[in-house]
Amino acid sequence: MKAQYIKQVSKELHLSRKVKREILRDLDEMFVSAGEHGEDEQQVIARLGTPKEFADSTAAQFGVDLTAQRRRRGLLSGLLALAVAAAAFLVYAGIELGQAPRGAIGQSNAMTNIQVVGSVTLDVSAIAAAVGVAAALTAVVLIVRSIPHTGGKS
Amino acid sequence: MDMDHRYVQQFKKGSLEMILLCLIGRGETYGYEILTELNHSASVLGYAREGTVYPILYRLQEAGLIQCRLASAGTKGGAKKFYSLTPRGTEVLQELIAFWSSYEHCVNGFIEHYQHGEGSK
Repeated sequence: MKAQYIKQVSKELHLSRKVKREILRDLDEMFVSAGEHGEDEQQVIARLGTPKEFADSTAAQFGVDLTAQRRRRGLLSGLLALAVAAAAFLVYAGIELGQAPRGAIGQSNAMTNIQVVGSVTLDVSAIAAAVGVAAALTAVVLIVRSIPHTGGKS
Repeated sequence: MDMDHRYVQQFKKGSLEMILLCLIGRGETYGYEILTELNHSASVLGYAREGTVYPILYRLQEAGLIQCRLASAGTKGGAKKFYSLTPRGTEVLQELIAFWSSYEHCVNGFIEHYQHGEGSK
């Protein structure tokens, strides 16, 4: 029961690992201390409230604004997706434009009679383009969502 | 009278930090002892719950007003956090006590004026 409660709180607490470890240690102490004074775990839990309530009120004391934190995380993943998109488009551009004409080997101008079997280049560029588009869309969605909207509820 | 009134809650909330600093200032103490102490000597406050007290302890610690050390208490007990005031905490507590006195004086003044006014009507 106590273990279950502490586990739940751990899941609900979004703080640095160091701070979290402290809080969970203290939570364990609360149960142990109460036990030494003849209280059972049920009584302690009744005082503590639900794991979520306990986690939220504790996090609030560390000045953690949960919505701001979530927003920041969204913006970060948005920027990451944007970087992925840029990289994918660079690969695509590199393959499509930067390279010698298809069928040529190296940087030579003349065509060779060696046939490239299959269409590996095409596949890579198609994949790069698809990844680029997907990542760009993801980036747009994430970044737009991370912008605080005034007036509306966030 | 409904003592769980919103305004009453605000008074309680506002004074809990000072009360905790007073309790810890008396001598090293740990979480459960603080709770018991609050419930014994201040039952009118009615808010001595771990979920209320611990978060404030964290904040006071963050602010550098209290410090703690881990030590095992007694034979059967596990490790406990023992809290004490830092020099800064002692300083702030002195300021809070001074403020509380003038605050109380001021509020009492309003109450007396009100009660006199009521009486003369």
